[in-house]
Amino acid sequence: MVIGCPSGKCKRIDGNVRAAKRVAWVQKLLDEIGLGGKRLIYASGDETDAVITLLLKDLAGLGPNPVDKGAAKAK
Amino acid sequence: MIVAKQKPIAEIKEMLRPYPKVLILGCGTCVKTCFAGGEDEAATLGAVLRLAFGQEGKSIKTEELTVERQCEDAFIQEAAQAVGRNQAVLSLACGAGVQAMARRFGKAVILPGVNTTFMGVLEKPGLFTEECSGCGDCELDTFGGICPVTRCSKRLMNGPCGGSKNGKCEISPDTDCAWQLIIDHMTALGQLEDLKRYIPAKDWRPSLSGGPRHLIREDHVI
Repeated sequence: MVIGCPSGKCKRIDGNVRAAKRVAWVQKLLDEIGLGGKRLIYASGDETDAVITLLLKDLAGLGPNPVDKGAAKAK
Repeated sequence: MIVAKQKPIAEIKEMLRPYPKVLILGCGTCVKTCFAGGEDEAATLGAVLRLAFGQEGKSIKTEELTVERQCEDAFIQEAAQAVGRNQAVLSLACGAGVQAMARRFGKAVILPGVNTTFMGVLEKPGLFTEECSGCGDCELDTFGGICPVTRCSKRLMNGPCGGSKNGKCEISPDTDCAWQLIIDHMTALGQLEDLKRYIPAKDWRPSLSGGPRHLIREDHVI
Protein backbone atom coordinates (compact mmCIF):
# COMPACT_ATOMS: atom_id res chain seq x y z
CA MET A 1 0.00 0.00 0.00
CA VAL A 2 1.24 3.43 -0.95
CA ILE A 3 -0.25 6.28 1.06
CA GLY A 4 -0.07 9.82 -0.28
CA CYS A 5 -0.76 13.14 1.36
CA PRO A 6 -4.38 14.28 1.68
CA SER A 7 -5.87 15.93 -1.42
CA GLY A 8 -4.64 19.49 -1.91
CA LYS A 9 -2.03 19.20 0.81
CA CYS A 10 1.04 18.07 -1.11
CA LYS A 11 4.12 20.17 -0.37
CA ARG A 12 5.01 19.78 -4.06
CA ILE A 13 1.49 20.83 -5.16
CA ASP A 14 0.56 17.75 -7.20
CA GLY A 15 2.99 15.08 -5.96
CA ASN A 16 0.16 13.02 -4.47
CA VAL A 17 -1.79 13.15 -7.76
CA ARG A 18 1.30 11.98 -9.61
CA ALA A 19 1.89 9.25 -7.04
CA ALA A 20 -1.65 7.91 -7.52
CA LYS A 21 -1.13 7.88 -11.30
CA ARG A 22 2.22 6.11 -11.04
CA VAL A 23 0.68 3.48 -8.78
CA ALA A 24 -2.07 2.95 -11.39
CA TRP A 25 0.66 2.52 -14.02
CA VAL A 26 2.45 -0.11 -11.93
CA GLN A 27 -0.89 -1.85 -11.29
CA LYS A 28 -1.29 -2.20 -15.06
CA LEU A 29 2.20 -3.72 -15.28
CA LEU A 30 1.38 -6.18 -12.52
CA ASP A 31 -1.85 -7.12 -14.33
CA GLU A 32 0.09 -7.52 -17.57
CA ILE A 33 2.44 -10.10 -16.04
CA GLY A 34 -0.39 -11.91 -14.30
CA LEU A 35 0.68 -10.99 -10.79
CA GLY A 36 -2.44 -8.89 -10.29
CA GLY A 37 -2.60 -5.14 -9.95
CA LYS A 38 -4.74 -5.54 -6.84
CA ARG A 39 -1.60 -6.46 -4.93
CA LEU A 40 -0.63 -2.79 -4.99
CA ILE A 41 -3.00 -0.13 -3.78
CA TYR A 42 -2.91 3.60 -3.36
CA ALA A 43 -4.67 5.32 -0.52
CA SER A 44 -5.00 9.03 0.04
CA GLY A 45 -4.13 10.50 3.41
CA ASP A 46 -7.80 11.60 3.55
CA GLU A 47 -8.92 8.04 4.20
CA THR A 48 -10.02 7.12 7.69
CA ASP A 49 -8.27 4.45 9.74
CA ALA A 50 -11.27 2.17 9.17
CA VAL A 51 -10.93 2.41 5.36
CA ILE A 52 -7.18 1.80 5.51
CA THR A 53 -7.75 -1.25 7.72
CA LEU A 54 -10.32 -2.55 5.24
CA LEU A 55 -7.94 -2.05 2.30
CA LEU A 56 -5.17 -3.86 4.15
CA LYS A 57 -7.57 -6.70 4.89
CA ASP A 58 -8.36 -6.93 1.14
CA LEU A 59 -4.63 -7.12 0.43
CA ALA A 60 -4.13 -9.89 2.98
CA GLY A 61 -7.01 -11.80 1.38
CA LEU A 62 -5.09 -12.07 -1.91
CA GLY A 63 -2.95 -14.84 -0.45
CA PRO A 64 0.76 -15.52 -0.80
CA ASN A 65 2.98 -14.00 -3.46
CA PRO A 66 2.77 -16.25 -6.56
CA VAL A 67 6.37 -15.41 -7.40
CA ASP A 68 7.48 -17.14 -4.19
CA LYS A 69 5.40 -20.14 -5.27
CA GLY A 70 7.18 -20.13 -8.65
CA ALA A 71 10.57 -19.91 -6.98
CA ALA A 72 9.69 -22.84 -4.71
CA LYS A 73 8.59 -24.84 -7.79
CA ALA A 74 11.94 -24.11 -9.44
CA LYS A 75 13.78 -25.55 -6.43
CA MET B 1 12.73 13.94 -30.40
CA ILE B 2 12.15 10.37 -31.49
CA VAL B 3 9.11 9.05 -29.66
CA ALA B 4 8.82 5.37 -28.79
CA LYS B 5 6.60 3.13 -26.75
CA GLN B 6 7.68 0.12 -24.75
CA LYS B 7 6.67 -3.20 -26.25
CA PRO B 8 4.10 -5.30 -24.36
CA ILE B 9 5.71 -7.31 -21.56
CA ALA B 10 4.43 -10.58 -23.06
CA GLU B 11 6.25 -9.86 -26.33
CA ILE B 12 9.48 -8.91 -24.55
CA LYS B 13 9.23 -12.01 -22.38
CA GLU B 14 8.96 -14.32 -25.39
CA MET B 15 11.96 -12.66 -27.04
CA LEU B 16 14.04 -13.13 -23.88
CA ARG B 17 12.91 -16.67 -23.06
CA PRO B 18 16.03 -18.35 -24.54
CA TYR B 19 18.37 -15.98 -22.67
CA PRO B 20 18.61 -16.29 -18.86
CA LYS B 21 21.17 -13.49 -18.55
CA VAL B 22 20.18 -10.23 -20.18
CA LEU B 23 21.47 -6.69 -20.38
CA ILE B 24 18.65 -4.15 -20.45
CA LEU B 25 20.25 -1.18 -22.15
CA GLY B 26 18.54 2.17 -21.83
CA CYS B 27 19.15 5.19 -24.01
CA GLY B 28 19.47 8.52 -22.22
CA THR B 29 18.22 10.94 -24.86
CA CYS B 30 14.93 10.75 -26.84
CA VAL B 31 13.38 7.59 -25.39
CA LYS B 32 14.24 8.75 -21.89
CA THR B 33 12.29 11.96 -22.47
CA CYS B 34 9.22 10.05 -23.65
CA PHE B 35 9.41 7.60 -20.72
CA ALA B 36 10.03 4.56 -22.90
CA GLY B 37 13.68 3.65 -22.41
CA GLY B 38 15.72 5.70 -19.94
CA GLU B 39 17.29 4.65 -16.62
CA ASP B 40 13.95 4.48 -14.81
CA GLU B 41 12.29 2.37 -17.50
CA ALA B 42 15.29 0.00 -17.69
CA ALA B 43 15.18 -0.54 -13.91
CA THR B 44 11.40 -1.02 -13.89
CA LEU B 45 11.51 -3.43 -16.80
CA GLY B 46 14.25 -5.47 -15.10
CA ALA B 47 12.12 -5.84 -11.96
CA VAL B 48 8.97 -6.66 -13.96
CA LEU B 49 10.75 -9.32 -16.01
CA ARG B 50 12.22 -10.95 -12.92
CA LEU B 51 8.73 -11.09 -11.41
CA ALA B 52 7.15 -12.33 -14.65
CA PHE B 53 9.64 -15.17 -15.09
CA GLY B 54 9.64 -15.84 -11.34
CA GLN B 55 5.95 -16.67 -11.51
CA GLU B 56 6.76 -19.46 -13.94
CA GLY B 57 9.48 -20.77 -11.67
CA LYS B 58 12.13 -19.54 -14.09
CA SER B 59 14.85 -17.16 -13.18
CA ILE B 60 16.29 -14.42 -15.32
CA LYS B 61 19.28 -12.34 -14.37
CA THR B 62 19.08 -8.80 -15.59
CA GLU B 63 21.69 -6.10 -15.63
CA GLU B 64 20.56 -2.56 -16.32
CA LEU B 65 22.70 0.13 -17.88
CA THR B 66 21.90 3.35 -19.71
CA VAL B 67 24.19 5.13 -22.14
CA GLU B 68 23.76 8.69 -23.34
CA ARG B 69 22.87 7.70 -26.91
CA GLN B 70 22.77 4.27 -28.53
CA CYS B 71 22.83 5.77 -32.03
CA GLU B 72 26.47 6.89 -31.63
CA ASP B 73 29.40 4.53 -31.51
CA ALA B 74 31.31 6.73 -29.05
CA PHE B 75 28.56 6.29 -26.47
CA ILE B 76 27.70 2.62 -27.02
CA GLN B 77 31.33 1.70 -26.50
CA GLU B 78 30.64 2.31 -22.79
CA ALA B 79 28.36 -0.75 -22.85
CA ALA B 80 30.97 -3.12 -24.32
CA GLN B 81 31.85 -4.94 -21.10
CA ALA B 82 28.22 -5.31 -20.04
CA VAL B 83 27.33 -6.64 -23.49
CA GLY B 84 30.14 -9.19 -23.18
CA ARG B 85 28.98 -10.61 -19.85
CA ASN B 86 25.34 -11.15 -20.91
CA GLN B 87 23.71 -13.57 -23.36
CA ALA B 88 21.49 -10.97 -25.01
CA VAL B 89 20.86 -7.25 -24.99
CA LEU B 90 17.38 -5.80 -24.77
CA SER B 91 17.86 -2.36 -26.27
CA LEU B 92 15.37 0.28 -25.22
CA ALA B 93 16.62 2.66 -27.91
CA CYS B 94 14.82 3.62 -31.10
CA GLY B 95 15.31 1.51 -34.21
CA ALA B 96 18.43 3.50 -35.10
CA GLY B 97 19.98 2.72 -31.71
CA VAL B 98 19.14 -0.99 -31.91
CA GLN B 99 20.78 -1.20 -35.33
CA ALA B 100 23.84 0.80 -34.23
CA MET B 101 24.24 -1.70 -31.37
CA ALA B 102 23.87 -4.67 -33.72
CA ARG B 103 26.45 -3.14 -36.06
CA ARG B 104 28.91 -2.38 -33.26
CA PHE B 105 28.56 -5.74 -31.47
CA GLY B 106 28.33 -8.14 -34.38
CA LYS B 107 28.39 -11.31 -32.26
CA ALA B 108 25.84 -10.17 -29.66
CA VAL B 109 22.11 -10.81 -29.76
CA ILE B 110 20.46 -7.37 -29.80
CA LEU B 111 16.68 -7.30 -29.30
CA PRO B 112 14.29 -4.33 -29.50
CA GLY B 113 12.41 -3.41 -26.33
CA VAL B 114 10.43 -0.51 -27.74
CA ASN B 115 8.40 0.29 -30.83
CA THR B 116 9.76 3.41 -32.47
CA THR B 117 6.73 5.51 -33.24
CA PHE B 118 7.39 8.98 -34.63
CA MET B 119 9.33 12.23 -34.52
CA GLY B 120 7.47 14.60 -32.30
CA VAL B 121 7.28 16.99 -29.41
CA LEU B 122 6.07 17.00 -25.85
CA GLU B 123 2.92 19.05 -26.36
CA LYS B 124 1.96 19.00 -22.69
CA PRO B 125 2.89 16.74 -19.77
CA GLY B 126 2.22 13.17 -20.82
CA LEU B 127 1.19 14.02 -24.40
CA PHE B 128 3.58 13.49 -27.30
CA THR B 129 2.48 14.48 -30.78
CA GLU B 130 3.88 13.72 -34.22
CA GLU B 131 5.25 16.78 -35.97
CA CYS B 132 7.74 15.65 -38.63
CA SER B 133 7.79 12.80 -41.13
CA GLY B 134 11.38 13.35 -42.25
CA CYS B 135 10.19 13.82 -45.85
CA GLY B 136 13.57 15.21 -46.87
CA ASP B 137 12.23 18.44 -48.36
CA CYS B 138 11.02 20.78 -45.64
CA GLU B 139 8.43 23.34 -46.69
CA LEU B 140 7.45 24.67 -43.30
CA ASP B 141 8.24 28.21 -44.49
CA THR B 142 5.25 28.01 -46.82
CA PHE B 143 2.80 26.78 -44.19
CA GLY B 144 3.47 29.04 -41.23
CA GLY B 145 5.53 26.43 -39.41
CA ILE B 146 2.80 23.76 -39.43
CA CYS B 147 3.52 20.66 -41.48
CA PRO B 148 0.67 19.44 -43.71
CA VAL B 149 2.71 16.38 -44.72
CA THR B 150 2.69 15.10 -41.15
CA ARG B 151 -0.25 16.74 -39.50
CA CYS B 152 -2.90 16.71 -42.25
CA SER B 153 -4.42 13.23 -42.33
CA LYS B 154 -4.64 13.46 -46.13
CA ARG B 155 -1.20 15.07 -46.51
CA LEU B 156 -2.79 17.82 -48.57
CA MET B 157 -0.41 20.49 -49.82
CA ASN B 158 -3.31 22.62 -51.08
CA GLY B 159 -5.86 22.29 -48.31
CA PRO B 160 -8.20 22.38 -46.57
CA CYS B 161 -10.19 19.41 -47.81
CA GLY B 162 -13.56 20.65 -46.54
CA GLY B 163 -14.11 17.75 -44.19
CA SER B 164 -13.10 19.44 -40.96
CA LYS B 165 -15.59 20.52 -38.33
CA ASN B 166 -14.95 23.06 -35.58
CA GLY B 167 -11.25 22.93 -36.35
CA LYS B 168 -11.07 19.16 -35.97
CA CYS B 169 -10.24 16.59 -38.62
CA GLU B 170 -12.98 14.34 -39.93
CA ILE B 171 -10.94 11.25 -39.06
CA SER B 172 -11.23 12.00 -35.33
CA PRO B 173 -12.60 14.75 -33.10
CA ASP B 174 -9.32 14.49 -31.15
CA THR B 175 -7.22 15.45 -34.17
CA ASP B 176 -6.69 19.08 -35.02
CA CYS B 177 -7.24 20.02 -38.66
CA ALA B 178 -3.72 20.98 -39.77
CA TRP B 179 -5.12 23.30 -42.40
CA GLN B 180 -7.23 25.13 -39.85
CA LEU B 181 -4.05 25.64 -37.83
CA ILE B 182 -2.14 26.77 -40.91
CA ILE B 183 -4.84 29.29 -41.90
CA ASP B 184 -5.19 30.61 -38.36
CA HIS B 185 -1.44 31.03 -38.04
CA MET B 186 -0.97 32.61 -41.48
CA THR B 187 -3.84 35.00 -40.67
CA ALA B 188 -2.15 35.97 -37.42
CA LEU B 189 1.07 36.59 -39.36
CA GLY B 190 -0.80 38.69 -41.94
CA GLN B 191 0.37 36.27 -44.65
CA LEU B 192 -2.88 34.53 -45.55
CA GLU B 193 -2.65 35.81 -49.14
CA ASP B 194 0.49 33.71 -49.59
CA LEU B 195 -1.63 30.56 -49.41
CA LYS B 196 -3.32 31.48 -52.69
CA ARG B 197 -0.17 30.26 -54.43
CA TYR B 198 -0.63 26.78 -55.90
CA ILE B 199 1.80 24.28 -54.39
CA PRO B 200 2.89 21.71 -56.96
CA ALA B 201 2.72 17.99 -56.27
CA LYS B 202 5.30 16.98 -53.70
CA ASP B 203 8.46 15.29 -54.85
CA TRP B 204 8.68 12.23 -52.61
CA ARG B 205 12.07 11.10 -53.88
CA PRO B 206 14.00 12.67 -50.96
CA SER B 207 11.73 10.71 -48.59
CA LEU B 208 11.96 7.03 -47.71
CA SER B 209 10.03 6.38 -50.95
CA GLY B 210 13.36 6.94 -52.72
CA GLY B 211 14.98 4.08 -50.76
CA PRO B 212 17.16 4.14 -47.62
CA ARG B 213 18.73 7.56 -47.25
CA HIS B 214 22.16 8.69 -46.20
CA LEU B 215 23.78 12.03 -45.64
CA ILE B 216 27.42 12.78 -46.35
CA ARG B 217 29.18 15.80 -44.90
CA GLU B 218 32.40 15.92 -46.87
CA ASP B 219 33.94 18.40 -44.43
CA HIS B 220 33.66 15.77 -41.67
CA VAL B 221 34.80 12.75 -43.69
CA ILE B 222 38.29 11.57 -42.73
